Parts: sequence; structure tokens; C-alpha cells
Amino acid sequence: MSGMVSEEAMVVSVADIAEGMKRMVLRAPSIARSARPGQFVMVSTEAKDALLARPLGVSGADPADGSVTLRFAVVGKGTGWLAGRRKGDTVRIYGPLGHGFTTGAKDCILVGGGTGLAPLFFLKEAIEREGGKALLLAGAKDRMCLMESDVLEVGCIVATEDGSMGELGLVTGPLKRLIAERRFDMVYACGPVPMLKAVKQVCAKAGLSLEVSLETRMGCGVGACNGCTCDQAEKDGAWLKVCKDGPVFRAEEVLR
Amino acid sequence: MNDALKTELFGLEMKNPVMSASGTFGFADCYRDFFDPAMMGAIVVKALTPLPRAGNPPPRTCETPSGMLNAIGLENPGLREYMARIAPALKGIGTKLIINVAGSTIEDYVEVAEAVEQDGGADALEINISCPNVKEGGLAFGSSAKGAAKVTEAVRRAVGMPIIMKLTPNVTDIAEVAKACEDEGADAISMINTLLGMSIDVKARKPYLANETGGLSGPAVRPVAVRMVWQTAQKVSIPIIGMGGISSAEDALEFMMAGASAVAVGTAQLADPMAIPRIIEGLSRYVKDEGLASIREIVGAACPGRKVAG
Repeated sequence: MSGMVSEEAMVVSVADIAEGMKRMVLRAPSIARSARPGQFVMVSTEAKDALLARPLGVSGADPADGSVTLRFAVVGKGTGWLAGRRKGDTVRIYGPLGHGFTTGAKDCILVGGGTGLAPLFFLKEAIEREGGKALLLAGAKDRMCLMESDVLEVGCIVATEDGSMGELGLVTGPLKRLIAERRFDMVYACGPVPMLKAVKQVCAKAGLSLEVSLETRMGCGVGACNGCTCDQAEKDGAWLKVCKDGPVFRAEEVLR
Repeated sequence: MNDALKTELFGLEMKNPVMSASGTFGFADCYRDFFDPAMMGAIVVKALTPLPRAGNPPPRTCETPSGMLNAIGLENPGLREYMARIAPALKGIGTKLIINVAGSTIEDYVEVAEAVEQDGGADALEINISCPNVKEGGLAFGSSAKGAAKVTEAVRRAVGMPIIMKLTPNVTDIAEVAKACEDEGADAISMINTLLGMSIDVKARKPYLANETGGLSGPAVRPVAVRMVWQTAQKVSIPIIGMGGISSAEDALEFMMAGASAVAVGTAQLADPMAIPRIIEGLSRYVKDEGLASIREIVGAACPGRKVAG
């Protein structure tokens, strides 16, 4: 991990992409230059009593205009404060952090659950820029948990547990169908652990390699506090840290 | 570099009085992209035990009002790995190096201390008798003057290099514990380690941390820490390294005026990777604005009864 910087980022735009979900574009040229899909940034907040910065996956980065896009759900003090920023405000962020996805796939599937979709927009762009094909699958409890406007814009297959958008059921439904139809070379997933485990099972059966991005609360984001260890995932006797060893892992490293 | 920030602790000359707090700066490998650790007065690395420790299960940290709880559990690669891989990487780091030593038994402390002294790469040892997150050792020694004295005496007998005793605030009279360490030959006191705390997840109806209890740090504990430094400075004449929620130069000055000769920054560094350089810069500006020849002039300024020398 290198090339991390702390930047005073200016809010370029902020938009609602679903109820309680925001897309925020920040001007952060240094981070925009080096961020890779799957990496994240830590966002410092000035929320009352909040001390620690918040980890958010990079959902887009454009070195040309120095912009970094974040897509996030407003879930607590930190994201609540961030959601209240307006165009022209500044936000201190540092990054890019962690190990991102291995790109280079020629024909792959990206599976996102809820806010786990955020880094996959960036991954899809990168894979397509490299000449690959990336099919996005979006799963959620209901349409409120999807980044609806952006999901529709980018074009993807949607499954909701209550059938309020796309097909009814879990995202593993369309995933199984696609895998049965043709040979893909890679699957990537980001979302809640039960979804990741289900995706892992499907991929293991089909002999497809899978990279997953884990979400967790973090202290520092750079491997200093040892707070964000993966539950029971070890390497050389030490527990893996989500922030530094991840957040992207090979599925078999971190999921049982 | 500002000469007015030069500080001396038990013969150790430092560029400035600002160090990292153990467990918040890794082995000086985490923040190199943000600044060169050589700019710091000293680097205190994370706790080292004889054998590797996996630490506690997650969740290990939890944000609390103006602070955080942690129950890492002294995760570290152990002495062998430290000597093979980490100590060589720390050579030539460009500033003073202090190794934090932890253990379950007195023999553990002695084993690590002797190995570090033999290696020769470090400038001092910080003896951690205050970790609240492990079942054995740590707090068990640090929570009484007698226990603290025992560890100090054993390590003092084993090594000639400077030893700093890191104390817990989870005691009735921390100054008494500090005095016991001084009497047994400690060169300095680090204070304070975290305050034992708990946070409950009301949705799950259970403690938020897997370890149930954890150590509270951050600005929330600062007034407690400042008070303890102030009390201890009146009881011991060895230098005190003050810590507990320091997030700005002004916070550092509070500790120094209470009687600390140097300070350590922990949680603030986790929250802001530029915290340490920002604090050093702030102190630099302060001595200039105040026209001080040396930052040492303000050590104990708010503690007329202090025994510790600036």
C-alpha cells in the first residue's frame, strides 16, 4: 500500500440515488490519480462527538478531472454529517487505502448487495476500459436498499427479496442462471456476509474464482490499530486485517 | 527543525517532545506515506511479547463519545519475528526508538527486555503493566504499587538500558504506583494507559466488544489523564511522558504544564494520519509566539509542587 495522501476535498456535487443513499463527487486530485477499484478512503467528519474517520469504498475516480465519487447509505452520525455537506464545502479524506480488486477479467460478473454496489460501479468502469465485459448484478431486500437511479443508469440485473424491483428473490438466482448459460472467467462480490457466502457457494460449484470485498467498522484504515480483524481468517498465524490485507480478498481466504 | 523543541529524557536527546503512543503506530510502518517518522521525538512501537499473540476476536473497537474503546489484546508477531524482520527494518529510522514490552509473567517481561537490549537497536523500553485487555499479566501487575515494583525491579536487574513504566489509570492512587516504580529504579513513567470501559449494543442486548470490556482512549479521557500527571509530578522526580487524548498542540501543552516532560499521541493519530506532524508544528509555533528558548521552560508550569525536573 503506497501513495496514500490526506486531502482537503471539495464537494463538487451531491445527489440522492435512493432514499437515504447519496452519491457525492469530491475534488481530490491526488486520490483520484491513484485510486483503484476496491480501495477505500477514510472520511473525517465533524459530527458531534465523532472521533474516527469513516471508511467508504471508492465508487469512481477520474484522474482527468481529479474527481472521486462516493456512494453511501446514511446510517449514522458520520455518514449523516457527510450527507449534509453541500457543493463547495470541504471534507478531509485520506487514501486510497487497502488492496483493491484484481482487474484484467475478460468476461466477468459483479455481484453487489445493497451499499456493496458502491465499489462495483468503479470496478465495472475499469474492466470495461481494459476491454473486458462486466455484468452487474444488484441484490437487495427491497428497492429502497438499492442505489436505484445509478443502478438503472448503468444497466444491470436486479433481484429484490420482496420483488419490489427486478426479479423476486436472492441475487444468487440470476447468478446461477448466468453461470449456467456461459463460461465466465471471474466473479467479484461486495455486500453483506450472508450474501457473500451464498455467492461463494455458487462460484465454488461452478469452479469460478471469486474476489470479495468486506465491509466493517474501522479505527484507522491503515493497519495501525489492529481493530478490523477478520473473524477467524488467519495468514501466517496472524489474523487478517480488513483495512490493510483487504478489503478485497480471495473468497476462500476469509469466508468459510 | 526547531531547536527550542529539543527535549532530554533520562539522557535521551530528542528533537521534540512528541512520540507515538504504543499500539497506534504499528512498527512505524503505517504512516510513512503521510510523513517521515524521523520528524518525531521518538517512536514507541506496539507491545511485544515473547510469543506471537493473535489478540482478541472482533469486534475489537467501538467509537464512543469523543473517544473509542479498544480490546485488541496485545496482538503482535512475537519476539522471534520481531528480531528477524522488524528490528532490522527499524534500524536507521532517524529518531529514537522505544519498544513497548508486555507479558503474562515477570519472566516474559525480562525475556523481551533482555533480547531487545542485546539486539541494541532500541533506545529505551516501555514496560506495559497496564493493558486492560488481557487476562494475565498487564493490569494484574500494574494495579498495585507492589506488583508494579516487582516488575520494575526484575526488569531493572535484567537490563541496563532506560526503562519507562507505563501505568494504568484504573487504580486508586496512580502516584503511589509511580513512586513504587521510581523507587525500584525506573527511568521514567508513561501515563496513562486506557481507562477500562464498556459499551452495550442495545439492539443485540450485549456488550459491543467481543471482549466485553475495553480500554477507553481519546479526548474523553484527557482531563483524567492531565489530573493524574499533575498529581504524579508532585510525587516522583523521574520524567513523565504524558498521554491520554492529546489531539492538538494545546492538549500537549496541558500535559507539559501539568508536569510531563514529553507527550505521546495515540487515538488522535488513528483518527487523523497527520495528527503528529500537526502537533509538532503547533508546538513549534507556540515556542516562537511565546518567545521561549526551550519548550522545557513550560514543563510543570501549572504544577508548582512538582518534583520532576524540566
